[in-house]
Amino acid sequence: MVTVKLFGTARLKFNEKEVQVEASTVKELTVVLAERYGVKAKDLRQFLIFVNDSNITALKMFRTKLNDGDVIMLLSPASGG
Amino acid sequence: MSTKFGAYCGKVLKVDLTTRKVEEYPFSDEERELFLGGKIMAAKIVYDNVTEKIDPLSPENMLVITTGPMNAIGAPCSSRFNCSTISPLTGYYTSSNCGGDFGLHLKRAGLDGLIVTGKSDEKVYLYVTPDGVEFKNADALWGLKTGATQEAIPEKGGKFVIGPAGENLVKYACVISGERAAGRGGVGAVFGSKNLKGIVAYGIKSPAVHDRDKLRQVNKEWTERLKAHPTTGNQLPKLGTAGLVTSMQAKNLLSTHNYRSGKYEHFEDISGETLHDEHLVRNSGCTTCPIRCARVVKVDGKEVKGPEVETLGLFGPNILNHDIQSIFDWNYEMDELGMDTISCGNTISFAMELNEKGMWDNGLEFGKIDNIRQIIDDIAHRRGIGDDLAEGSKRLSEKFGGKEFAMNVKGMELAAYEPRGAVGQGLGYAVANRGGCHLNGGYLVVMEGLGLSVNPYTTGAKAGLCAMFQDLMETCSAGGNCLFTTYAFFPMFLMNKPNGMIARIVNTVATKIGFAIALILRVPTAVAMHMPFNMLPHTKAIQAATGMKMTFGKFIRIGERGYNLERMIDVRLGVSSKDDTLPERLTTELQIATNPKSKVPIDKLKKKYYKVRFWDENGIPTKKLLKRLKIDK
Repeated sequence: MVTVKLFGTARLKFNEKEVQVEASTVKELTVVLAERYGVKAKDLRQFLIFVNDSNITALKMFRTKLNDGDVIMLLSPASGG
Repeated sequence: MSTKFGAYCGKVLKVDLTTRKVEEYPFSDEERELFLGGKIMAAKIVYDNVTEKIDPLSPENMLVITTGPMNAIGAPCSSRFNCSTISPLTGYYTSSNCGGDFGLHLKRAGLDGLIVTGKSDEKVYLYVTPDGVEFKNADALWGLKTGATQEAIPEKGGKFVIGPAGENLVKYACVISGERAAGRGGVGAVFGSKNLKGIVAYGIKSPAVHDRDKLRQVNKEWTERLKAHPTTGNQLPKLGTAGLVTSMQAKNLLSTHNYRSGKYEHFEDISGETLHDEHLVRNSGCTTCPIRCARVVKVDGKEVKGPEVETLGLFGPNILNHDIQSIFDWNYEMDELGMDTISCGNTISFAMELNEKGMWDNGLEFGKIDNIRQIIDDIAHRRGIGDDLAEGSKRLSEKFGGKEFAMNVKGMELAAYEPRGAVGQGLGYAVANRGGCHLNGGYLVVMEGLGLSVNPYTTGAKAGLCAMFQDLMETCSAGGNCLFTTYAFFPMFLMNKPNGMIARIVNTVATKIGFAIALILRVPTAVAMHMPFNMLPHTKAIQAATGMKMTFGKFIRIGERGYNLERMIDVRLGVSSKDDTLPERLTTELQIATNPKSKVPIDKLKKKYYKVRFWDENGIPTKKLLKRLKIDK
């Protein structure tokens, strides 16, 4: 079980702060969340995704493996100020 | 004087407060084409008039308040005006930008700019209309906060006023128009030093534009584009700049515990999401703005402007405070007292560390917030330790020590981005003309983590990208537009799909070709040409409004001219390579113990930056460059 924390436009869109999910990779995670929120998995893959403080772009992208207790952050794709 | 160009009034007035003489200041069409308006126009005026080092709080200093061609002609995000002067905080040139409605009114009053010199022998405010300038007694206003001052002034129009902090010469006092601030560099103290409580401008007629139909079409497309862009159409309207807190946390960019870390365990409590979910009354914004990034929150039951990300960071994690309501309260109070929240918060966190290390017994402690409200008031009125804090972190470090953790550059306090998490941003802080400013430094943090994901630790191309974005933002500001409009430079397909193949290629390639891009933009033949595609709507709008031929290359060149002009004012006032640096904490201590790259290699970055800029090894623009840019003949 991993913990997914939603921030930015992801939180506003899905109206949820945090959710526990069973998934072994980031790709699988997006499929599970897509079902939960009634959207396409590819839409979820357009958020910035961090696994335990590391951007998946610095890991193995959607093939990144997940382990029990991991914390995943979904962030707005673009931010600025 | 008049002008052949549309969207300008063709008139700048100079007011001498000592003699009460008001005269027209010559500014030619040739100069309009070279310097455009706003901060660059102001830099030209300061460059021509401040020829030696002066006391910023003496009558010799000048305030130069300028508009740009985009103001008051219906362009989106175009209520930004500029106030430039020699900063009492840094001793160097500063330009402070504000989104209040004063600039619109100044232009409708028939002026592109207003220069104020000298010192009045009584407290005054100025009333500017198409009929001229009136001097009004301000005895009854002196001592009032900024909100009360604007209410008490009977004349209608756009108002631009100081509060007690400006009157008491707090080195980082600001000037307020409506609820918006010309925040940085202590321009409010310069107002106070001249016995000038404020300026009111009123007019109803905007200048004619060159091609009304074309401009209307460009403005419509521009507005639609802003609304469709993920940053200006989604993130900023929904979460404001406060929405950056979580992104900064994720990327080690959230200044914490006086910049000892880039992460804060209680970040969620002071995030844009918490502000949105639990406190937001509604969003708001500057006049003419379709983005509406400002937040309205409640303080003591009253609806007021909420804090920006800088204030949340510096009065939150940086002093180990996670009570968001306390930040609302202090933010509102600082606006009312007329003080820059960035410099104030940063100076307080420095004082906390001085106390923690036993270097100054001042009663300020990290995580202790019950005395902050009183300290803010004491700073504005220079009471007790507030008198020392009113001088800013640089002067505090000269008195009590701790220079290595006094988080300023050239005397101006850094914003809330911890640069060890984005070394290009660190370079920007170090070389910025007005001191430790995130925006004047090129705001590379957008590429290094907040928009794109260019490797934040590499030095490759950061110098070139830094110079290019500094120049880009310089011209954008000079035109009179909000800097958020420069997000158009980043195409939607990149920003919408940060994990996509194109974004990943750009993230990689950007570290390899930035240096080359910066050089190409400086080759005269390239600059003269139109780019094959135009990423910025600004050029079309300026061309339609003014009738000036405006290519992307010319747009960038104006920014380069402005940036070097400001640099030359600073050089004249004593700036050189020795000043383009960062506090030791950021260049010698690792932010993350396990990451040897998590510090700013400032010497390496700076050397590359000087090369890209065509500055000599001491950071001085070469004569050849100044001639090419038509700064010196």
